[in-house]
Amino acid sequence: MTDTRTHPLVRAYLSSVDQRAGALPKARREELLADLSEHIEASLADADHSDDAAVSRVLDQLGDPGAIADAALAEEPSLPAGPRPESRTRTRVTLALVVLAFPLTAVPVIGILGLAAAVAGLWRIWKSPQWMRPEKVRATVLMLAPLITVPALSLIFILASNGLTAAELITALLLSWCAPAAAAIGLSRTASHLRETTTATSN
Amino acid sequence: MLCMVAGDAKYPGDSRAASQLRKGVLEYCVLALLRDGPRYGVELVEELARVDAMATSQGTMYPLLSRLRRSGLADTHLQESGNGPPRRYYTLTDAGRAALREFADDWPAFRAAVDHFLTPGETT
Repeated sequence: MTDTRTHPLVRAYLSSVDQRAGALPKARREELLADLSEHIEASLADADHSDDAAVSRVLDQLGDPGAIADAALAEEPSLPAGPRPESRTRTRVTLALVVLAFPLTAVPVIGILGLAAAVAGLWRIWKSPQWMRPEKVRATVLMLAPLITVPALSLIFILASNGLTAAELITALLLSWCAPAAAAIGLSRTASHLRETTTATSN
Repeated sequence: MLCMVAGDAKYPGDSRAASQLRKGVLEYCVLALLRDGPRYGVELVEELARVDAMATSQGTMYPLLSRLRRSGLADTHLQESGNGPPRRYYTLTDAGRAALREFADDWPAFRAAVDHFLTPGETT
């Protein structure tokens, strides 16, 4: 009786459910398969038969694998549409890259690291499931804003005072840094809000 | 039994209305089946699938049972059986009992309201 799970019909049935429920989180899918195999084993034990005919009858009553997978997917309303949270650490690394990329580019010699940080930061934002597209677009625009604001502010200072002093340049850089900083604050808020709401509802 | 309605009708297909209605009440039927004591999975889904209006197939019940377990309305434990593998028994938790009581209180008024609109001449 212990090897009903290895019965070819049962294996084919369970793997069919497994395939169709591919979009389910792994833990949920495994739980579903465990429930179904327990059901099959218990039904066969109750029926006192485990020949092919009995196995087919039990699988027949369990029903269409596609319908079972659909029922399981319907219990996961937030699955394909909504954002899913990421770990605190992962989020912190992404936000650190967003905030530090711009100041790093201003440091002599290692400025190239700033560029690398910007690319890595943007890549992580766009790969992350915790922010939706409009927020990703907004963050990207804010991160790239210094490319325009630094020359623009410098030009204003030059026109206003016939030259650019070190203090004026630093002011332009600091003001421009506000945009990536604002991007990081926005992303951080959404991320922590999402973490709170999902831990509250999915217990 | 609270939910054993339309047990005599055979549904060759499954109408959209029936499936919508089932979505709303099926979990309370499960809770009602557990009211008088623990039942194991096979027993529970066979009982539900026996009533045509309540199930499309036995297997589609398991995702619902899993949700009841996760949301704390039902609990499960394994119990040795004289025959074959240990069986997973489902029991009603206090939260499950409260949810069932609330539904049972609401249901008569709800049913009367629907009947009120469905019965010709009732709405004037």
